[in-house]
Amino acid sequence: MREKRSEKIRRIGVGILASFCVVLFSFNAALGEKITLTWYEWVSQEAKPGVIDHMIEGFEKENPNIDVKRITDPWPVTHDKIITMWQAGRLPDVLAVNRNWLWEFVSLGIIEPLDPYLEQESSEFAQELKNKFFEAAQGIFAGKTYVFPLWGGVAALVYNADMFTNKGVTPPESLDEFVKISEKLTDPAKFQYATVFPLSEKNVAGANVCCIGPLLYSMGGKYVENKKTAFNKEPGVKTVEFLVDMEKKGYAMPGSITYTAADMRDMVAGGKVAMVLDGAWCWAVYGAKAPELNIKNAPMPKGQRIGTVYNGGNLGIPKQSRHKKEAWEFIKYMTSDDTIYYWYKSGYMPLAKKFADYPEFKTEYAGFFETFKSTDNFFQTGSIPQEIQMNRILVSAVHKVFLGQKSAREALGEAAAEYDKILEKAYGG
Amino acid sequence: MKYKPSIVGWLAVIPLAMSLILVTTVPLCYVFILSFYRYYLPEKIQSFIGLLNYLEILKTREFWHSFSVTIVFCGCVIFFHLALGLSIALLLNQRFPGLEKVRRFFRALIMTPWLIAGAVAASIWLVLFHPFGAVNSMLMSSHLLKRPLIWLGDYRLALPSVIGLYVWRNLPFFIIILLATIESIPQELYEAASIDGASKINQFLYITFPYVVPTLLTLGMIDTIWSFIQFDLIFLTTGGGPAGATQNLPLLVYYTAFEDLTFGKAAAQGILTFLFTLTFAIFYIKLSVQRESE
Repeated sequence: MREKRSEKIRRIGVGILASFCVVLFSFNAALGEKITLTWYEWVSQEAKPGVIDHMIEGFEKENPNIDVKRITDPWPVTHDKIITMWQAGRLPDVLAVNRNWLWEFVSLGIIEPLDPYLEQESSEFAQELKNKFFEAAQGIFAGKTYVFPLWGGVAALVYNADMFTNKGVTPPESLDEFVKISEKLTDPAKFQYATVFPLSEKNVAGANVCCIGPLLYSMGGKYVENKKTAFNKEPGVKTVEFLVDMEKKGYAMPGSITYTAADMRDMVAGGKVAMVLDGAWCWAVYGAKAPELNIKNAPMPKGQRIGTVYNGGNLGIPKQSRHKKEAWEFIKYMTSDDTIYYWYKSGYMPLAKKFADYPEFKTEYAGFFETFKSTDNFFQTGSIPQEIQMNRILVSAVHKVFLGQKSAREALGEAAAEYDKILEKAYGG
Repeated sequence: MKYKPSIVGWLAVIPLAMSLILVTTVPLCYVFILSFYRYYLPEKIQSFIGLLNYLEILKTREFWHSFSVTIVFCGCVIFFHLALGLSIALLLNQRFPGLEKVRRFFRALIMTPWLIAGAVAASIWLVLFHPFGAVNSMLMSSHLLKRPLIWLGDYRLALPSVIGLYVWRNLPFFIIILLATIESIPQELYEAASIDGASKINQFLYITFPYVVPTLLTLGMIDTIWSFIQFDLIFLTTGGGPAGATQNLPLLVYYTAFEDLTFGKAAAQGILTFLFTLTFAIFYIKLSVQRESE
């Protein structure tokens, strides 16, 4: 009897000790547990191999308790995927936000202001970070900072300098010159064309920022003016007619309405096309795809004026982020001077003011900087969330002109009527 | 304690049935309910609006255009899948002396398009049908074309091009099913028919065809459902363009949801697509049942 009792006491004692050990182990494990910080982006698919990984390694070294998990997709599908993830409550901790989604994401409540995080920093640091970047690159909406830029820039002329030299031409300074030299740069027998326009419905945002937008602004037009559609006015008509004429004359690669911006870059990299309108946000792509080619940039050819579109990728913190403190540390690291210098060296136009004057960047991005300084016509529509819908309406209208179904005036007029309904809803008219 | 076999059967089936219901019926019910709401993402409050979404959709030219694109797409792919599937199955069923290995090789090779992922198939098509791709090059070098055709950028050619892609990709499935049906036909029937002097055409019309009709009906129903909801190949090749020439109902639903952010309207479009598909499926089932009872 006594033995049974002591056996029972012994078992209870072992049980308590074992439980205590389990609790202690779990506690220790929890203390030493690494946080996985998820980052959804697309830029690693465009940047030079290894660059993003190097930057993440640097962050993880400085923050040994954080593991960064990168989730990446090609750009054309990222917007729709973000909307889906948001609806499912599964947004990552850090989000790459394209410039023309900013207003949409703020209005939908997808991302939160970063001002509270800035307020927790020293006033010097906060001021320095807020003033670090060019105004166009700043992610401010309704007086609040929502994102900080990582990559971006304006659209300008990207050209194959060797093809130009072979044909004895120089980068065109005006759209008239653009057309003039196109004749010399086109050689259909060799499947070489002066240019290509990426107007596919598969990537309507790319069609606007890389093609329609810069030309529209150069022609002296706008997308929206005084809360009403403006692209159907004379500059818009001229823009569409310019695009169609270039293809009719045989200077632009046939099939403009089937090509995406990615196809356009492949054609430049493949030596099939001599010059394109493209953004500094994808400058690194040319270096990655065709390092052996002598690809350069020049200012946007002038129409009535030098016009362009600013675009780029930024870093923001979703409201659904599970590790907001760590996400803020990540953003601070990715916008620190050392990191962005390395990043700009890999092929991205400096958006931080102090680096814009560095000689190596001034030369590399001369054309983009020149365009950037010459105009302030940067954004497609202004601050409404329905910009994405509008891209498709306009591209569809352009297609009808290319297909000969309607004149530029008719097609843009119809598109404007549709666009105006959306603007009315957006502005509460 | 012994249980009734029926109870054991139910216990075995219930977990799977619950999973299927959860995965299929629950989302469908949610979408159905959503279709009666004004669910526009930028607006904080979503309001019940009854049938307004449906009425609005049915009045728009865009919806009926997408519907007509879907019907044309379905009609063409079903025709080609069944006609070509049956023709190739009949050919593969033929036995030529000394060519058995060749026959087996082609039977394996014919499966290739079906094994390729949709995204890869779309990429292959984009390369082949590029203005300077293989198809135009072949046609131009054989002097059938003077200038390259913009297959995916011409309003008249874009839809036939995506139909071609879809037919090419899924044809092996139809060939295999029809081949299996043809191979199950008793050979004695053909022998008896030969002895009685029946020609090959008559053998096909009076032996082969009656045997394969039930399979054709089933395949037709399956193909109707699959082609009605076809999304990935069209999205990856033309994106619904040029100027909406290839925008079928699934693509319309997608753009309404993810670009216009009007999820209520997209849900209503989705329900209408479902109802159209269901109508066709019921039609096929009734046809099959009628045949069986005859």
